[in-house]
Amino acid sequence: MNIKKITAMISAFCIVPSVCTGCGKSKSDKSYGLDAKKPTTVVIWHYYNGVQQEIFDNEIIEFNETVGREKGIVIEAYSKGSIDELSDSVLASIRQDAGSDEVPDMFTAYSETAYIADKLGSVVDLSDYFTEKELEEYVDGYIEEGRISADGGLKIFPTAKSTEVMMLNLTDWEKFADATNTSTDDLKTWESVVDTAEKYYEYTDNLTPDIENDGKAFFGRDSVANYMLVGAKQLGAEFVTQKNGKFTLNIDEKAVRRLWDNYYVPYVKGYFTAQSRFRSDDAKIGEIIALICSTTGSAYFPDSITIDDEYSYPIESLVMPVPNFEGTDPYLVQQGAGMVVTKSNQTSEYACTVFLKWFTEKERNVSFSVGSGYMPVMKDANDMEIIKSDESGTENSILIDALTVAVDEIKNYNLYTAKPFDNTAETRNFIGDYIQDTAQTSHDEAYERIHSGEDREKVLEEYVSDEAFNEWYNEFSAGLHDVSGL
Amino acid sequence: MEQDFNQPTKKIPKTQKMLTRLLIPMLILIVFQLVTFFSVLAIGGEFSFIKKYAYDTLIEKTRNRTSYVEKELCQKIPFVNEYASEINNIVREILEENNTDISQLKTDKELNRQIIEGSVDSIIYLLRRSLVNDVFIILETGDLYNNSNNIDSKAGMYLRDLDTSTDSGYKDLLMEMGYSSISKDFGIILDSGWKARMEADPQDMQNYDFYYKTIQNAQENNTMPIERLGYWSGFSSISHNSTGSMKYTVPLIADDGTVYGVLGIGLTEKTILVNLPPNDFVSESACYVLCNGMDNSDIFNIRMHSGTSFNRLIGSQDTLRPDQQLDENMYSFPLKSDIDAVGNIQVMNLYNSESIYAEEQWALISVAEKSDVLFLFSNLIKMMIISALISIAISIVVMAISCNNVAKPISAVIKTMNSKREYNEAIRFQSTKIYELDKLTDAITQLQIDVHSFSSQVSKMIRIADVGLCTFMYDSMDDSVFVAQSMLKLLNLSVKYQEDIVISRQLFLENIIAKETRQIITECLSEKLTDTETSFSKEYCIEKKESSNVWMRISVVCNSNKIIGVLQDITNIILERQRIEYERDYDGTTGLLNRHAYYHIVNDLFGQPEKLGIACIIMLDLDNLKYVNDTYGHDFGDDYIKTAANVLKEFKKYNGIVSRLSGDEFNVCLHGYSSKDEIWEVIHTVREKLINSYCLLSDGTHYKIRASAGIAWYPDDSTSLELLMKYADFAMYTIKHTTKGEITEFDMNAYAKDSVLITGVEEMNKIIDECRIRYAFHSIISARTGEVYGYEALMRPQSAILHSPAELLRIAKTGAKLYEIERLTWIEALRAFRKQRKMGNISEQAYIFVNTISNSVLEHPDIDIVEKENAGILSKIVMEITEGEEDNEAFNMRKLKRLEKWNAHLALDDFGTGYNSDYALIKLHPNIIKIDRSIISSCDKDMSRRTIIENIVKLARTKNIKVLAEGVETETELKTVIECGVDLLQGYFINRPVFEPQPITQEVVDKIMKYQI
Repeated sequence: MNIKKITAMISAFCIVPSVCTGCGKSKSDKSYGLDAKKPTTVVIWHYYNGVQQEIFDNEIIEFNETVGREKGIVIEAYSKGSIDELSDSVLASIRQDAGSDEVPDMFTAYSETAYIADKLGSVVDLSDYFTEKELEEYVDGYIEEGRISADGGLKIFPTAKSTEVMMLNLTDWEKFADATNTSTDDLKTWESVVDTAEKYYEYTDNLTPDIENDGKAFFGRDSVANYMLVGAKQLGAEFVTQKNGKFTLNIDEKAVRRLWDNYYVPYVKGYFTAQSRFRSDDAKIGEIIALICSTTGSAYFPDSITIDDEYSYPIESLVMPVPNFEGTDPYLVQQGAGMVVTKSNQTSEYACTVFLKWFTEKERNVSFSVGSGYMPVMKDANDMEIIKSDESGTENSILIDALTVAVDEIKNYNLYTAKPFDNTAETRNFIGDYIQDTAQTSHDEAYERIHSGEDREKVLEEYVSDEAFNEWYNEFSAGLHDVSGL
Repeated sequence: MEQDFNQPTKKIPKTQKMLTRLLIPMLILIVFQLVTFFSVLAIGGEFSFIKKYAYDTLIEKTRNRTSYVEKELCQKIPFVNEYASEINNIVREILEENNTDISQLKTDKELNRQIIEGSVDSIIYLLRRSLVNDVFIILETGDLYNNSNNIDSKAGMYLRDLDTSTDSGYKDLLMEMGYSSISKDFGIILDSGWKARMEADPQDMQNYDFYYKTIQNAQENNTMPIERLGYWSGFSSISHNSTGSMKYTVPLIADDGTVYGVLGIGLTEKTILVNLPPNDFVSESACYVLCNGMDNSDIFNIRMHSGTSFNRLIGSQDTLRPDQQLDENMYSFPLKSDIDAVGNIQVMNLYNSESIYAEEQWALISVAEKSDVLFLFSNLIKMMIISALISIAISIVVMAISCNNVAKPISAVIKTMNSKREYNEAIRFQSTKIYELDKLTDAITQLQIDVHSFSSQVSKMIRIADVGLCTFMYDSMDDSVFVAQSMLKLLNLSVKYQEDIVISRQLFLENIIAKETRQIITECLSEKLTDTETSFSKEYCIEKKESSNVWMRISVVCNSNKIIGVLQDITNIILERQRIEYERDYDGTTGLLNRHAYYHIVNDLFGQPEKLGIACIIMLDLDNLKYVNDTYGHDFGDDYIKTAANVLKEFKKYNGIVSRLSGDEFNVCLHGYSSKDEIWEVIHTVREKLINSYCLLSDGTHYKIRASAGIAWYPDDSTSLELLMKYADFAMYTIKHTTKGEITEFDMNAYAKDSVLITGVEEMNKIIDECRIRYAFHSIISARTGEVYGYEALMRPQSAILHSPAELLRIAKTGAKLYEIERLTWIEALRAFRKQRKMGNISEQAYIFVNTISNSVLEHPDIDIVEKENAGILSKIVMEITEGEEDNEAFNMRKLKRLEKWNAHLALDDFGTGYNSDYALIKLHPNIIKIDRSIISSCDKDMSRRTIIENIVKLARTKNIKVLAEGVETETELKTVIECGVDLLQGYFINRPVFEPQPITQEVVDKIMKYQI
């Protein structure tokens, strides 16, 4: 009997550990090894700043505390300050440049960066983690835009899209409009915007009769590159086109001239301007009263104007659709980075997709949109009723207005995004920077001369003449060929 | 042997299954071992060690995190101090350039702008070098920028970099506050809440504490080095829609001691949280809380927290306060959420000891759910318990299997033994493969063989003994019957079998020869079997046509599943018993029932009145038996008796039960008739025979049978057999003492008379108690006119036994109840009188004669009742006194006095019969003399009587006394007494006493008138 007892005891102690370890490993294949007890850390790099960053951080905290905690995912998000900084850091990490950080699990990127990263073989095809049905719930164009690789794999996941809107300091506009018999109808085409800007310059110049040529700029816009690229497309002269997987550069002089006439010329004349980093900053200090910015930028549009850092006054604002060139189809940029998941291991990749699904759920996506100014990416969520009903949106009426206009724009405009190729970013930057920088220089030179006493009309004519254009055009054309490598 | 078999049934020991017997000690052993195991662990302190280890893990983590945070924060301080002095230099230069002094800050806006613009580079360097989120410089500009709206505006600059890890020039900087020109020049984005100046809302001073507190304390201590004036403030934000930050602020102090502003850095929660990862704990339900508080207080203000568990654990609480110390450095925290939380407090040294803020304490507190901290500990205990339970379970299983290995063969043996087999078939056991068990089964087989041979020998012995015993045993389990060989002769099967057999019940029952036996055994076998042993026996008769009946007795014992039966031929016993019974019950001489048996039978009969109907008991006594005996000898006497008995046996034909009670006494009970006449007919028939029968005497003469008989009727005379026999006896003796040889019926009256004394006392008491006396009125009329003079009230007891007043009085006298009678007479007689008066049967003039008992006198309060009831008619009372005994003189005197009082009359009763009548006449002075009926009777024929009457009348006349003649029964007597001159008449000739008096008939009146002289 004693022997039996001993064997019983022995077998008992043998069974216990095996039973217990057995309990611990109740593994589900669907979780790709996620374990709430051993959380998987997912690092996200993004370029959000200010308001967007705060809202994004809050979303991440909420995720970590709820779904993340439940499934064993911890998201760590780092802002790289700007999209360029982000792109450089990501690509440097992927290329394992000296001093670069480890590759993040996920990063926000425009198609051009994603395109390069994909070419380096570091981007996960997300269609492996989403069913067709799930993808159908997203706006088709956004998903389509994410299929950048030749094999059609989904490489960029749309999280937050944006477009552009026109913002108006209504309080100051009304003073001007009343005095000059102008209406907002005069802001519908680029040509009329230029005319209105001229009127505004004259109007403000006349406010101080004792000082000559101190008129104020009416308008400025963020992302001049968008003006150029979308404008060219609208005018039927897309700079870079793709045919059978081959990219070609086309520079149409006529179209470029029209672009030049409606930005460079008024800029030089002082009707348009761009002084601070963003036009909303210019608006805040009363430098301009109309601007075009991304929907996300609308959050920065001021509710009061501070003049000379001294006195300030509250203003009303108006959001309007972006103007088009006279006699063209309406075109609008569709931008905003998506999320790119880098190749690591299944667990981390899956964890990223869990976050993406969570982040783009209708209500959350809407509340993020309303907070940040990004457009929702789900079909269902692109509905003003839902957007307006979001509780967090009641604080920021400018954003709601901007989104309202943007949703309308999306319905009525052709959306445009340049197809990425190897030098997309450089090309894009060049196109935007070149016209902006030359215009600024010319404007500064001209007005130095004007303020030194030369005749304004004559001086300005000099800078906007056909010769000036031709000179400008040649340099632009050559530079573009250079930068694009096409 | 027998004793051995009986033993187990007396005391059943508690039995347990083998498994139980083995299992319990084993379990006790295991439990004991486990207890030892756990006790050793507990005593050895292993448990508390593990617990302490769990706490230490938490403490260690908290300590490490604290040191990270502390380092992170403290390492910023030197940068701030360094740049503060650089700013001082810049300011000094600018002041020199402008040839002005620091006090101009409060008046010169341009100076402020110059200082801020001049500081931009340094400040941005400070931001980049110290890796902080915020950097700011704020100048103490006094009221320079203040408007009327109560808001305190200060010039300055506040820059923010949300992500410290990247350095993108100015691109990732946000300007929260500052000159727009700087924003323009440096390309710094204006944050959405941008303001040109710090605008401190007085209603929201909490957010501006970093500025005002630093300034104020610096002003008070402006000689101190700024290292001692640096201030860590909690999270605050200078614009309503930007994230708060934890700030370190140092004052900017000019050489002259003027505090002209502050320089500071800020860290957002996110930056600090880098050092406090949310999932730092084994379990999820824990968080870090960054707090500050005062040195001397244990209340900590919550400034920041990490981890998802914060909301669940602490929620909306603003402060934390440790409750009790659990272990070194471990505290429990009372929380609003009621979660049992523990934690460790690690103080951070953000200030050096010289700082004026040294008493402000910053601490990192880890708060965790206690159960989670002790998860390992509780898990370990859980595991140990599970192991213990599993080892117990396995032990049970193993032991159960082992026991089963032993128990199974035993069960198989038991099953084999219980299995059905032929009666004389030997049990064949399979080998159990267990040595001891096989030995046991061999022994059992041997035992079975021995028992079988023993039992068949016993059976044989019974058969040889031929005591008429047959046995069988029914087994309900397999519905079979064991039939002993001795029984076989009762069955049809006897031919086939020569030994004991076991057959099915049906076969057994079908083959029983005698139908009575079959029926009774069938009944026996259908008895319901219970656990308790029952037994019974029955006797029955097998009627046989060709020979005398056979009597059998069956005795059956039933227990839970067996019925054992024994059949016995008891014919001889029964016959013997019948003979004894006969001798006991019958008279040897006559063959009639003796007294004992007769009484027994008839008494049974009296228990069934429906059978009895009309019945009678006849007591018959032979006349002259003594004579016959004496004259002819006893043999002839016996013949005489036998002859009479033979005749009396005739009664048997008529539903009679005849018995010889003794010598010459017979008793017959005739019953079941519907009328007396039918019975009489029978009696007469038999009597006829009896009269005509005779016995031949030795002298050759025919001696006639003569007998006297008394009859008592059921139910007329009584329903009791004893009484009826007594009555019949009485009647018989009555007739025997008068005319022998007759039959007479019982006469209750005669009987009552004789027996009244015996029964009378009781009856008298009943009469008195229940007032069962009525009074009849006997008319007394005038001998002159025939008119009614009065009535004598005559007592009439209402009783079946005591009819006559004389008897009642006789008994009352012996029973000392005379007074009761006297009282009843006075009250009831007068009541009856009044009633009749009221009814008009008695005229108002009539007197009422009441007989008083001489030896008794009415007492109070009865006198009062009489007087009260009869008020008004007291004078109509005539009290009759019997002059009987001598010593009633005193009573009489009292009675006389009362009469006097009532003005009533006195009558002297029974006059002429007493021995001293004359004396009484003199003594009592009666109003009326009643001449006794013995004198009146036949006075018409007897001259002497007439003379006496005439003398009495003469005497009475002299005394003015009325004379009443009692008992006048004939017309001649009437004539005589009238002629004698009596005044009043009473007697049957006139009328009889009745309860309701009637008028005197005219005929009587006419006769009285006719004889008037």
